[in-house]
Amino acid sequence: MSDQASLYHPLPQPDEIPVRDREDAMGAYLMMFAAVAVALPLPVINLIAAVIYYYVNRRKSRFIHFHSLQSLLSQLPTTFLNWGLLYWGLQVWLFHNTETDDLFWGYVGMVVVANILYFVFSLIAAVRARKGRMYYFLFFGKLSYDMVFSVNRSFRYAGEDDLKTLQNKPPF
Amino acid sequence: MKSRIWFDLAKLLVGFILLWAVFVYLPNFFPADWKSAFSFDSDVFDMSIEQEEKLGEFILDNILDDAEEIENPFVDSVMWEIESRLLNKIGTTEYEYRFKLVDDPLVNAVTLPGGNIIVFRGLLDFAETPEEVAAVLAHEIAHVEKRHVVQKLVTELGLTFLVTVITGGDATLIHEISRTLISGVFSRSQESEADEYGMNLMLKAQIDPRSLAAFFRKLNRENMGYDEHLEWLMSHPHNNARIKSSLEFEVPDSFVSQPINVDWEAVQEELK
Repeated sequence: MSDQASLYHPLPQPDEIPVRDREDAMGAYLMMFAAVAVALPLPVINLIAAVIYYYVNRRKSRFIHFHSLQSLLSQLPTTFLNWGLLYWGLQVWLFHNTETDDLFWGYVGMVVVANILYFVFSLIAAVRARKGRMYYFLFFGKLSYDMVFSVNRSFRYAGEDDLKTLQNKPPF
Repeated sequence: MKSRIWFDLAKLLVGFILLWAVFVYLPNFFPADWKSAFSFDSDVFDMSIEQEEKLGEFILDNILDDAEEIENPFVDSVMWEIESRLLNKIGTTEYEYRFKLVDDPLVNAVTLPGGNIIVFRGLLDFAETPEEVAAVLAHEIAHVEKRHVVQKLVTELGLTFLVTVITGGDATLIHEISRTLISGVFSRSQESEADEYGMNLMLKAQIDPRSLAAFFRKLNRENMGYDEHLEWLMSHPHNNARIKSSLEFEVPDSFVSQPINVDWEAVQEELK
């Protein structure tokens, strides 16, 4: 356990996280819902918005970085699935190149469930982030944690000491 | 740590695949045809048979304005022989069928709304037997009975547009609809449904359903060197699957075909 802990930066506790950081972390999840609504029926704007939000906010703190990265990564599968459904649907109803079969309807069911799961878990994560808590999605949670909190990642955040030292360098 | 991440990814992928599989097989446990609510193949369009017949009359008149109808008593009697064999076996129908033979080299037949079917001279020139013509007509009758034409028009042009045409009778709009019907295509599922209905109708009429496969084969053979007149093939896509299903159509052992007793060569000679 101690070996594991030494590989990662310590997790910020709720009382150490400013309200502003908590709100920015929450915003990473909530903003995606608005972007998804705007992006319909072409689910691409949500992805662009997520990338922009991530790059704008990631340097603010590890807490915000983690949540915005988790939000970005976790919406990739649903976005790709929605693209697939859009393409398949157009082939069926607009271009008449294929027809609806059990595979298609199974895919529709899967996409609907995937979107509902994404929506529900994002809401939970947004609430937890607002409370200054970590919340880990399956796979994306661990991946984001590893990418953000690993000591091997040399990523500097606003207000950190190493960032300040970089401003004035010694002569030798 | 890394291995736990990848293990999570594997769980996620398996979860999605299982979810897909569940939804693929789940509908089989529901007796109701819940998919029809989302399908254009269902009879969901609010156009009455009377409206459809009126629309059909407009379109038929429009097409016959530009094309020359063949009115030959001998050919008409032969065509009636073929048509009546099929019509006597379709059972209860809401349509009053009208077949028109048009002097055009296209190997084609076009279904219009309201039970109107246009047969082009090229089809009669091309068919080797009256049974092959019956196969095409049975297919077109299926498009009428299944209301494919109305579904197609409503899907492509919209119900409001069609109702406007029916009430106003605007010649330009009718011409547009005629063009859509002659150049457009039905969906694969509609074509398959029409093939199946047509072959079953032929069975009932004691006409060998394999005539459709024979006709398909000849079309495909001729199409090897592209002929612009082979419209029926070009306007009826997805042929390989349809040829296969027409070849695989099961004819009961008890089936006895009753040839259509007409002098087909004389018909073709008459049309020259």
